[in-house]
Amino acid sequence: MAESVAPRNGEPEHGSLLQSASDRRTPADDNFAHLRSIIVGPEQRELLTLRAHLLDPTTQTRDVSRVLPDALQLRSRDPQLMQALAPSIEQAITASVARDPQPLADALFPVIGPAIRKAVAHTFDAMIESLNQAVDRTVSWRAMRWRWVAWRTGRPYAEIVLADTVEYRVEQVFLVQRESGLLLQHVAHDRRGERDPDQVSAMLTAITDFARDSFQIGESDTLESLRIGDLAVSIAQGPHAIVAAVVRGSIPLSVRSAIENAAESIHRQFGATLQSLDGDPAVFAAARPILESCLLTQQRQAHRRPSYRGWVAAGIVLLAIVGVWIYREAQTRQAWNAYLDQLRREPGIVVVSVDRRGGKFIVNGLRDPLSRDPGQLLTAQAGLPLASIDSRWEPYQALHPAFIIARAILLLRPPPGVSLTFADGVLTATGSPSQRWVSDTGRIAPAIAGVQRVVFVGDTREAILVAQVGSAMVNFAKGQAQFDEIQHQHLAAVVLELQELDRLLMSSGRRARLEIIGDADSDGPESLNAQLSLARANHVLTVIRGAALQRIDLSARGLWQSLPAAGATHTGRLRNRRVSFEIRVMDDPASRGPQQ
Amino acid sequence: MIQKKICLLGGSGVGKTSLVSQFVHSIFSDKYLTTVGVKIDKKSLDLDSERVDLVIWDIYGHDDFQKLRSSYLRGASGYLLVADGTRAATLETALEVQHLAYETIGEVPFVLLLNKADLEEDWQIPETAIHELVGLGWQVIETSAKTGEKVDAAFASLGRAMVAPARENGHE
Repeated sequence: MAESVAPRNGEPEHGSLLQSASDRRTPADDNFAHLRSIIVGPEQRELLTLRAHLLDPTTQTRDVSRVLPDALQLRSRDPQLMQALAPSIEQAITASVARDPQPLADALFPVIGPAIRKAVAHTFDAMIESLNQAVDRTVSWRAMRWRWVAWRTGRPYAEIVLADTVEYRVEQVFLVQRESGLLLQHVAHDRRGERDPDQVSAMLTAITDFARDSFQIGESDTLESLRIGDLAVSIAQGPHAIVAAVVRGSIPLSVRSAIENAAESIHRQFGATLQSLDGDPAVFAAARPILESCLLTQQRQAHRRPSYRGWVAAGIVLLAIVGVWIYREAQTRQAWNAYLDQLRREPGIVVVSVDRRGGKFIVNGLRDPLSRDPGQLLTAQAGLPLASIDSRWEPYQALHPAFIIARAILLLRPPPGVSLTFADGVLTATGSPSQRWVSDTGRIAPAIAGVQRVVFVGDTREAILVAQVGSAMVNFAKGQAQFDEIQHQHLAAVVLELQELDRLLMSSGRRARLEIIGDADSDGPESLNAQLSLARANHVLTVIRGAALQRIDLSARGLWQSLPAAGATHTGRLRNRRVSFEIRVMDDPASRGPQQ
Repeated sequence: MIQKKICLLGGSGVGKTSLVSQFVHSIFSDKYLTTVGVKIDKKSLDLDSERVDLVIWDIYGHDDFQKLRSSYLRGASGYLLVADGTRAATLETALEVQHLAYETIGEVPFVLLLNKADLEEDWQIPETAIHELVGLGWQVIETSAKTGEKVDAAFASLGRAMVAPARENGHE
């Protein structure tokens, strides 16, 4: 029986095992074993085959390799599997790169170029935006400040500008399921003015799809930003969800990075949920903090540090006010001192005391009424209003020569042609005044302060006229009592002088006597000459009478024989055929009485 | 609260937009339809005391001149297919569109609306055709944009169909 089992089994070890056991067995045992082999033999053989199969690693490997792809496919979306595989894959990649980087480089080649280009383009966009603003402000106060900060900190100017120029505010952030456009979560700075975010989210997705379809761009390229005036939408695309930020102002790199980071961390955290979403976005409430971290704002420097700026500004204003006040005060002082100097130099003004009270300048002193008005002096000084000066002047008479002369002119009223000078107490009148003025002046002038005596220089007009008339002659032709045209003119000049003298006499209340003396040469008989000389005198008298003189009494006489003045020369004879004048002013006022 | 994206599909001139306009809330004007090719509306449903927000993508009419932008269909949980009951050709278009939708987003619930039910005398679609579609498992509802008849029912029906599978899978 045993022999029959072993060959059927085809397994010598088992056969020998049974064999060794059968050595001691009884025939009853043999029967039992036979029966047993009939009943359980097939199962036992199958069990042994399976056992052998299980213990063989080659067959095991073959078996697992058959089901592995299906198994992986089945659990491809299971995070557990991913977690389990991740370390091995990472190590495999590391090992692969360590061994030979070429295969991985070849595999990545098609994607790495676009990825780098995209990143570079991103950076440049943001930089250009900022630099444009920087150029706009190159000559501004801010630009100068940037240069100062760059110099102080040793950082490049462009970096300072980039950090400081971008001003923006992220107003809303949407987390949108990429495929359906359904809004998963929404955060906003300010809920006022926001439209239905569900619809906006869907429309944003539609527009993104529209742009991609319209311009036939690749599936991996997506709309990254929209700009409408001051408002921009920056979109970070993940495989299953989109993070979109609505930004007022220019989109800075920091916002871009923030939403990209948000998209990444949301995918990390909610990856499985994003894929199998059944429409209930409540679970994404946990993503709010991530989205809220994208609500960035950068305001103007001025808004951030108002207190510091305010104090500096206030300080500058205060300094400016104080500076202006000091400057104005100094100017006023200067003007005041200059005015005082001018006052002190001014003749007829004596400054006794100066003071300043309640913002007003006070000046006390003496002033000759004939001096210049101190107010007029002030107008020459800029920055010193008249109202700011309180002046008190006591009148006095200045003994300055100019003032003595001015006062003398006022008092004596010298006629035209007469000038006054003053030195060492002596008032000198130069010119040809009337006798009357001379006598009045001699009496009044010593009453003028500072005048001790008066000196007259030159003749009086009266004396000149008397001398002129006295030396005048009218010549006649031989034997003639009439005179020619030339002599007539001579006589007219004499008449004019007499008229002037007459006016002078009238003003001084005196009289004069004019004697017209006719003459003839010594030729011819004496009686005839006497006759002729009288006729000539009378003829001239007639002419002078025509002038109707008031204060000059006229008389005419002829000389019997003229006294030869220069011998019997022709000229001497000529001189004798003439009329001459003798005039005498009667100074004594008493003489006027009988004549009036 | 559950949110679902649904699409409103059909040939041009079947009255899709006017059919839903009185039942939905929109912040966008109709001009988006002719420019971007889609307009977003929103409607809230209360299904068995659960609120379902439908974000409705009203997609510009499919016709010979304009092909349906399949990218707009992606992610939709269901759709309303609209045909004009007085024009048999629009039903044909609706069938084409349904085929396209199936290819794009797979098997999702949808409801066929035969619009202009108020114009009985002009009705062109035979009962047999409707029976045939119902036989295929389609849900067919006759509606009227004019009277608003059964429009709400159509939304509710689609909403239930969309929410039900989620429940079966044990999701809330």
